[in-house]
Amino acid sequence: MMRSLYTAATGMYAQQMNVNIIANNLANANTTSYKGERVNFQDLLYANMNNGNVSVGAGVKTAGTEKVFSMGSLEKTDNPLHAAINGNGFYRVELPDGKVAYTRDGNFHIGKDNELMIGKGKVGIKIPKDVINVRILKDGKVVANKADDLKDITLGQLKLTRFLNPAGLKSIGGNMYVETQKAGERVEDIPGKEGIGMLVPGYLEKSNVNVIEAMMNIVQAQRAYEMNSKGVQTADNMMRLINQLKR
Amino acid sequence: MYFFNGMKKATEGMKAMRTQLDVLTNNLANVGTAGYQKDALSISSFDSVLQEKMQDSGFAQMGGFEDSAPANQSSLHLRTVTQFQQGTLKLTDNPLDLALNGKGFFVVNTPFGVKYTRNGNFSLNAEGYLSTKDGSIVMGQNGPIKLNGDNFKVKEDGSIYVNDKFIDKLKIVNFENLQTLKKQGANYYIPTAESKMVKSDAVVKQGYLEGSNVNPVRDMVAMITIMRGFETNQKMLQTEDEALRKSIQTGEMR
Repeated sequence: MMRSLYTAATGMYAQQMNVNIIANNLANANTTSYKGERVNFQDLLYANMNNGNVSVGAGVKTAGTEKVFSMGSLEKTDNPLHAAINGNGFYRVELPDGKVAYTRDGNFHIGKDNELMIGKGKVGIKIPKDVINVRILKDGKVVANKADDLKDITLGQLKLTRFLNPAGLKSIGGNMYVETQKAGERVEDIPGKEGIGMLVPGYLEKSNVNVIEAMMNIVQAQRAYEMNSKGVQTADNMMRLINQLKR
Repeated sequence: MYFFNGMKKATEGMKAMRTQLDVLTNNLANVGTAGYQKDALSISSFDSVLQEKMQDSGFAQMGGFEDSAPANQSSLHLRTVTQFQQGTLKLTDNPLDLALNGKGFFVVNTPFGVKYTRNGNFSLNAEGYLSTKDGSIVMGQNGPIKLNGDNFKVKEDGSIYVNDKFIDKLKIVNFENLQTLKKQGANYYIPTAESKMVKSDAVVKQGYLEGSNVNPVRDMVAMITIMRGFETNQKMLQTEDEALRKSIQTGEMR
């Protein structure tokens, strides 16, 4: 009956989705290596009336969400097993179910079978039992030394993987991403080579959510929601006036 | 019966206000849609032109023939107009987000034909070609653009470099008669016969998205005006109805 009522309602729903996403970003403002999300909108189909002279739209729909891969700031932790990535690239891990995943989280730890791990994923480097002082160097080498010897032993080489379209990766939670067709070609190499970033030992990458920007976006989304609700009210008022025509 | 003319005019006014609200709410709903260009409704009176023509031809002087004029004598002529203005560019840091600064459109090959858009929120399709989020292929000057490499750069003139090798230039076109373009939804436009494709001098910015050019303040104020206009027409209708009722009553007393 009143197209504008439904059009304005689509606007309200879209802005609500927007607020949900921004609120999720804010909730993860302190999650290590978290990448914020944004919503993409599209207008809906248009109806042609009056011999095509008048074309009215039906509102908006959310076309999907995507992750924003800008860099978060680096936080000094002084932990030798922490290594943030400064620039492009992801660490490659193997999850317990055999799947390959990628992550920006540089919070390494030594797992129960002496494997160097990030979260639940194995990096593929084993740490022997008789070494101390395990550390990660900025070119990705994992070194340690024996208890009675100061000489460094190289335990393995960390590599980084770079994608053409990181936003095309699929997030599976726990700071892990899996590869999809949309991510495009990938290139794996040691840090510092071929446009891949360097590692920063002793640092972790913080969430890339800019709290001030997120608050501003939430305010804007709220106002847009209100404006669309005014559209709903106006349509409602019109219908009321139409009903009052006949007394 | 000529007194129905007033009611007809008021109804036309109300219908026009309702369509005006349809256009406005669509603008407001799309305040966050990338590359969206706002619409406006132009309302012009059709009958004033027709009345003049009728008097000139002596038709009206034949007495009592006003109501047998063409059926849409008192109708309003409505037309939607898309107001093409540059939206603000927003930095997104996504290398596959492109924005146009200036007049022009990206060319997209969809399953339903070639369409044009200002929404540069691009991705890769399953075969590795530059495409829109719904899988339609974005055209370069030499056809679809395959991105096999891991470094994708777009220069301001639209040339595309993958791993520092020149691949193709983006196909960007403009139209001389922008008003003849039709919106298709999903941020697409299609041209009509009168659109006339011309060269575009728009600049491509990588890592940016163009925001919608909707002016919410203007549209909110317009909503108030529409509401009042609608109310006025409604009151006119009620007054006509009242006048009719009185005249019927008056007739009954005789």
